Amino acid sequence: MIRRTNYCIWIIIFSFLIVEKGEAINNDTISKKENFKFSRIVFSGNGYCGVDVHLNKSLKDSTGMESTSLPIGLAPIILWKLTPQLFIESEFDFMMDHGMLSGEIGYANLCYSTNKLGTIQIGKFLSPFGIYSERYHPFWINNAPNTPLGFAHEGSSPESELGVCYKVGSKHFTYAMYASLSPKIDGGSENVKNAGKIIFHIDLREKFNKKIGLGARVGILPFKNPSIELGLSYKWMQLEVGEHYDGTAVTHTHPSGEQSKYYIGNMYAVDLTIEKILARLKGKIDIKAQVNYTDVGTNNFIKTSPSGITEIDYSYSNKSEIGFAMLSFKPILVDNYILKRSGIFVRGGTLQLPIGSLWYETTYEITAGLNYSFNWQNILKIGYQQISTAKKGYTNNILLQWAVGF
Amino acid sequence: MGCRFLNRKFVMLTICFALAFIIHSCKTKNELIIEKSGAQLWGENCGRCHNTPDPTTYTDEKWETVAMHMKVRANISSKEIVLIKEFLKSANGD
Repeated sequence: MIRRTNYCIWIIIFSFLIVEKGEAINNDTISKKENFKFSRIVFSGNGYCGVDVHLNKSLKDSTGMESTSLPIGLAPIILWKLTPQLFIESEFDFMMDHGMLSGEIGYANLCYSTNKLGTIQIGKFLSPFGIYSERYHPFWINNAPNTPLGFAHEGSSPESELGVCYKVGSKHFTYAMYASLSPKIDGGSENVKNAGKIIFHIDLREKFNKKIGLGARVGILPFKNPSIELGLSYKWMQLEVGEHYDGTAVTHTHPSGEQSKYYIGNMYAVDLTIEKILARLKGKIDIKAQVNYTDVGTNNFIKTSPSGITEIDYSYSNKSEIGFAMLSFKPILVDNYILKRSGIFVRGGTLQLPIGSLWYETTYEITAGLNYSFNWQNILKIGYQQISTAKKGYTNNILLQWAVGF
Repeated sequence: MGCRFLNRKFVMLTICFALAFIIHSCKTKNELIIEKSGAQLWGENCGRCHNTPDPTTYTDEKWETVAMHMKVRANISSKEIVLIKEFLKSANGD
């Protein structure tokens, strides 16, 4: 199975290379008009492979898998500028971890952009809620060998949105406003313990939530150069409850005591980016941080036996918080060829899931390590990570990853 | 527990802001230039998220497309992206 999926990934890589080369050859023979159309197609993308070694061999991760994993991913990207204003961007994500291959459309949208009016995106686009998903999720950009807690694929933060987004940027402010389909609430159909979780992940093969959510982000660049950016994000959502596991029900109660068929969720995020060359230290310092806060109000969780007897009936406040802060340094101004391409990073992160829910967890992480850039899109990273959870105690991991953009 | 967690977040954000102002106070020569060139904007904007690309990476036509992609992704202003594009096209030898 693993060998077969590896072949698939390599076939896709070579297909892209052949198409890219073929396009260059064909450009000599086609007419000028066609040349304009197709010469503005860019085949790009990124890929990664790595090893995650869990040093506490007695501990197994939450999925019960082995303590060493070999994550591999490939994300081909197609960019096409149709006219001076119209543009298409799309990415397809292939991921393989623990021998399981998955694939989906990361984003695919049509953009209309003018100098005066800004940009409108329609389709599936990366979520402008905070900065991590939109700007730092490709591993060749991320200085660390894995994602921060809660920001991973199918995590506790929105990765992408399906809807319409309007963006405009100026010297000191950037704005993004969007209307998109809201996430769902897990009804516990697959795992009763997950009832009440927000499912941010959009699977185009599944039935959508028909409720609409609204969101916005304001980026503040207070100084003459864009080295410091402070972002404030807000998202309002109408959350439908997914299919229930037999005997499970999640109901939402308003302060008045009335029950509603859907939830109202509010999300807030603060993000910070600092990137600065420090001549005295002969290098570049880079700080990235984001904190998300989610509030879905009070949930009532009811589980009944087949004979109709209530086994569990309790309420909890569906509030969760995730966040990370990462500090990186690269001595890019030193003369040594190897040293100037090297870097160090330290990242701290936290994940706090709703207290009182069956999926409650408080987790902290600290990750530190080194990286080396072979070129601007090719980076090798090694890190040591300690994760502490209230339920499992400490887990120590060694992470190795090679990431390439192309 | 929640209060302690909020305090920790508050301390983290305060440290981040303090670092921001300390770092910003270390001025470099580039900041004294009033009108920025495309090259300077290329270094500042691209370098915020990733290593700055070599202008020879793409042809003029491809830079048109990639620049639009980056304008959308990083919300770069129209004025700045035009200057960045002009610089990349002039420096790629195409």
